[in-house]
Amino acid sequence: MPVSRLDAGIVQKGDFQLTSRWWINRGVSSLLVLVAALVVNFAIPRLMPGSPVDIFSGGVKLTREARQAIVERFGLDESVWEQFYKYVVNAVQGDFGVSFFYYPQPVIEVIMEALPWTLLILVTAMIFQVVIGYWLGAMAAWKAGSKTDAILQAVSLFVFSTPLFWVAMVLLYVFGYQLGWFPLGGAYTIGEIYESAWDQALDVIKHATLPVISLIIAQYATYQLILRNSMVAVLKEQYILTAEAKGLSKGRVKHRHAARNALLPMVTFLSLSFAISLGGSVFVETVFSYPGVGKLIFDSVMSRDYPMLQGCFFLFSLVVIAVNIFVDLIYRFLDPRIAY
Amino acid sequence: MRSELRKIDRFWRVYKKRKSAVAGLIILTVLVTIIVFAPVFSPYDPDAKDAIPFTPPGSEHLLGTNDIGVDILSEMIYAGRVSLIVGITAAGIVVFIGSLIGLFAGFLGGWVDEILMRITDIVIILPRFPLMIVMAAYLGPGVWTIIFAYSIVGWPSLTRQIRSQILSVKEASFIEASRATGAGNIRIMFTHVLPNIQGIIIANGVMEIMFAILTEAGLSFLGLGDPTQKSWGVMLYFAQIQGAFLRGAWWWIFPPGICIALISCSFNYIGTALNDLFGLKLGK
Repeated sequence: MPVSRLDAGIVQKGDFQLTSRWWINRGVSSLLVLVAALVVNFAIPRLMPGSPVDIFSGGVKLTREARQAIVERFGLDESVWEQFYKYVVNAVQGDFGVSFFYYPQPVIEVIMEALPWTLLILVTAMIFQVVIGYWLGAMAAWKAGSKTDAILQAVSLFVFSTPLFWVAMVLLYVFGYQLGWFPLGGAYTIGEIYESAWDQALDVIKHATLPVISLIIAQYATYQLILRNSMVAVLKEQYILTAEAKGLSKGRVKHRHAARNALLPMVTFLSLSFAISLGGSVFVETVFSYPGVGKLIFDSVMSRDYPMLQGCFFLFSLVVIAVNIFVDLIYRFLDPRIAY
Repeated sequence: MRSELRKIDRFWRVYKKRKSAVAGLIILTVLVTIIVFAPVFSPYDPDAKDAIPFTPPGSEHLLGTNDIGVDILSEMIYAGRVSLIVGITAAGIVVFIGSLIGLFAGFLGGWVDEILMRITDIVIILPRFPLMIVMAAYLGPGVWTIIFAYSIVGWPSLTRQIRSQILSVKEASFIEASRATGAGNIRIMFTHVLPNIQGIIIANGVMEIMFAILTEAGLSFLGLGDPTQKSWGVMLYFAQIQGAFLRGAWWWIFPPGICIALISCSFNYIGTALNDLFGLKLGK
């Protein structure tokens, strides 16, 4: 079982180093994902039935000149490799073309305006997911085999099977439309003049509450199940018995000795969970008309704004890659035995 | 035949001790019965638009009506057909692809394994819902679009599990024995390795149906489903855009979601139980 040497005091904090090998390894695998995202983005419109020009123009009837402009913009009369080269050069510079819907605003500009809102609700939700998952998972493991454990597990499996967008709809209906406790959509009250920064913050929090709660419900259960399972195994270890025999308090054994040593699988799940939540943001933001990237994706589907859709997908891929590297760093910090 | 029956009997005796697994089976049986015999259970024609729009639930319409005067209960029973068929089809394809890749990677090892697992790692990292949305948006809304998009991104986690199972079966002595008789790789893979992990494949297949149903609902909710073949997800899409909230039509919002949750939850309970039971049988 993963027992952190950091805990045992064998490894000093200074021993945590990032070798150049680690960076190369990380760099290569991140680059591969990046290339995959680019290839997918590049290939999908070109593999679709019909002329690429029609697809890139969103099915709108065009003049000859406009068709010619599109052909040149994407290099459609050149070879596939030249097209791909052109595409990558543009993408690396953050140029995903011009949005059909927000014409003539470039895709990247629109996305950058939306991104902070998505990150706000995602990161907030993530903190709560981990804390709640930890708390319930530790409780279930501590009482493994009991009725509490069985109920917690059954509930989490049920929550796990409930579609996120529907949870969001129910929350919106009950707490927004019926009880009126929370606003019905948006990220802030439009046209409102705030008396103080505090008022403004409160307004933003009020608008973010229901979206954040939806995202929490969508993911906390997985953390709970993961921690429970790894902690049940840790609880069978000898040093738990030792800790109890030393007369340490229940809480101390539970959190310092058992849960802490069972944390690693939960940490591993962080990056995957973030990717899942990114997908979830599409649904939550759609239901709550929250002006983030997720809502942008939905709107682009509705208006067939392909450049925007591809830009969003590429950006999400970038975010996921960054989070992966970050989680890997945390992991290495927690468990210095991991070598690359 | 006899021994098969005895096996099933022994299996059932362990299975029925798990309350959640039994509950899952009961819920699933009830739902599937209603869905399969839709004409018997549905009180109205799901395409008839002759009731008063936005009628609240009452004796005439148990779950009320929607914006165009369709009885929601009838619509929902028929929508279950689409959700279930799409879910099972998509899951079937994913299980097929996932098992095959896992089988080849795990059994052949070497550079085949290296390449296949690299691809798996990449597909697993790419944000899957956005990727499916991009694909579906280009292909245009529809049932097959959803099945296709799900098949492309759904297989990696299954592949990883199958592969790790294969790695442990591979070392078994009966594999070595059949190799000694001169059996080739393909033959060993399909006649000896695959049958040995069929339990795990079935358990994962059941879980996969849950993921597929949830995915179908999600993509349909974003308007990527077929509006003429309503699934539960499509119903909720229309509820969202046709003012169910403003009209306070909770009877249009709650029931389809509860159906999705119930059916995927029952698959989840059954799949979890099967996974545990088959995992035990493998002697771990």
